[in-house]
Amino acid sequence: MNKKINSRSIVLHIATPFIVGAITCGILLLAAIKPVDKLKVYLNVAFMDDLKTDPDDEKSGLIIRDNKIISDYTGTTSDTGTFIRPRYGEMYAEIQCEKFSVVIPVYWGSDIQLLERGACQSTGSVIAGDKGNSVISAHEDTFFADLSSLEKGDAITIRTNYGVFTYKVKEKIQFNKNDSKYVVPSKDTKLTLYTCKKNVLGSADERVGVICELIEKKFYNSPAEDTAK
Amino acid sequence: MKKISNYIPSVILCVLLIISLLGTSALIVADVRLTSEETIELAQKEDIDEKSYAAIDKYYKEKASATGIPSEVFMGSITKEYVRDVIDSQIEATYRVFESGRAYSHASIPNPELEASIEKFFNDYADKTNYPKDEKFETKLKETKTQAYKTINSNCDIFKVDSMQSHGLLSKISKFYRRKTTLTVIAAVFDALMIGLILLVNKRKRDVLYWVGISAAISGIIGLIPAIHLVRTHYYDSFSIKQPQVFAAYTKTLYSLTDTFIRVQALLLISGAVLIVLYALCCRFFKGKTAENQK
Repeated sequence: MNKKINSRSIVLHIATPFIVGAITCGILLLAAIKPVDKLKVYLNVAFMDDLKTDPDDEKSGLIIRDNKIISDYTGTTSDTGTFIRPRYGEMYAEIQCEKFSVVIPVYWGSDIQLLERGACQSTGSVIAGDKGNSVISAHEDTFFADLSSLEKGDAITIRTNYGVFTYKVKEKIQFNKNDSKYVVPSKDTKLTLYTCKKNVLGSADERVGVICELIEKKFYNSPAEDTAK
Repeated sequence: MKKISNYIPSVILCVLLIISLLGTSALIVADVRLTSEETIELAQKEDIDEKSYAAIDKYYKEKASATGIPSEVFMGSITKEYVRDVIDSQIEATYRVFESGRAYSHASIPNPELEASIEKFFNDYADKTNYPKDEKFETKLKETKTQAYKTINSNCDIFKVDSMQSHGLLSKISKFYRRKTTLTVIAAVFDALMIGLILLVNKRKRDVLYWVGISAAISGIIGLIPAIHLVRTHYYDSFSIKQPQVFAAYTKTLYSLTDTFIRVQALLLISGAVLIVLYALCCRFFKGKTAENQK
């Protein structure tokens, strides 16, 4: 009989922590439902990098892709075609103009590192040849040093790997950096190029540039399309 | 322990003691580790001043072509020691806000060498290019100096306190921070009360060792599991802000707090285990004595 009582006592002593643990976990889970729901939103915003990149790691950060842009296309072209949408940090076009001393690479995205390598296109704008406002900027002491020499009627060519597009300068503009009227999306198809107004010392508050209208579209036909024709 | 009249109240008190011990350990960690001295020590240990210095250096190198002012004009007078002093003073100002509940404001630490360097560059440039040293020139000079201090303070604001203030987070944190010591004391008193009640409820006083032991052990396990999971999965590395100095400040602080919490919970678990072993030994001792008396 004593043995039975002892074994029952031992079982009770062993089972009790599990019973107490289960009750406690149950209470904590129930109590945590509402606070966790509220906290989840903040936690998801504060800890949203699923890749857990270390900012000191050389591999993290902006990925810059330099592409070779077709400059000697000899196939057929048409005024309609398919756009090749670039990724952020990707070089997707080149600007050519008689008044520019260099062919200017155009990167998709605005970033300090990209501005060191070429002109940057605002990702809020449309890619070259598409309907709407294509907005491209560059430093005034490097790639857009010759921008102020452009006059009405000058032709600007943008070469991409899906086609070549020719624009004509329609008007010269100047605006304050806080004024967004020239860089917002628009219904009419145009190209807006701008840079900082040359300023002596310190950051420039004024921007200068040109607005150009699209006068010619030449989409490159794919070899399959050519064969079908 | 076998009587229902002792067992059920002991289970209830045990559950309350576990929850209270969890709260107490979290509050102790916050009370001990969330101080300006601890935070400054952590920032120095993790070389966060080096990251801030590198960020300021990068900023001025990138801005040089846009502003026409070489980065050496600024970086020649901004030393790592100065950056460390700015970070430390910002941390102290942050904790003062937590303690007082007032709005955050941080006065820049004057850097006469920096101001002199900017002035010299402006004057040399004006002399070389015959730029008139008029009111516009003086305004530009003043703006550049002000902007320089703003840039340094912004890059040394490793906990983004300005942003926290504008989003109304600072006042919420302050409300808790001002009460943390009081809450810790209340939690500790509650723990003692629960232990006292367990003592009252159990006629066999050695049973208290068992109940307090399992409370401590279970509290330790419940606290350890999620804390270890956070560390093993590197959860804090998914912190959204990737500015090196801000990322380091937040993640190192969080990992440090979690690490301390793990140690406290491990201590609780070990203490619980020791109490249970003591209880077992007491039971054997008294069982032996009873058997002897019966003989």
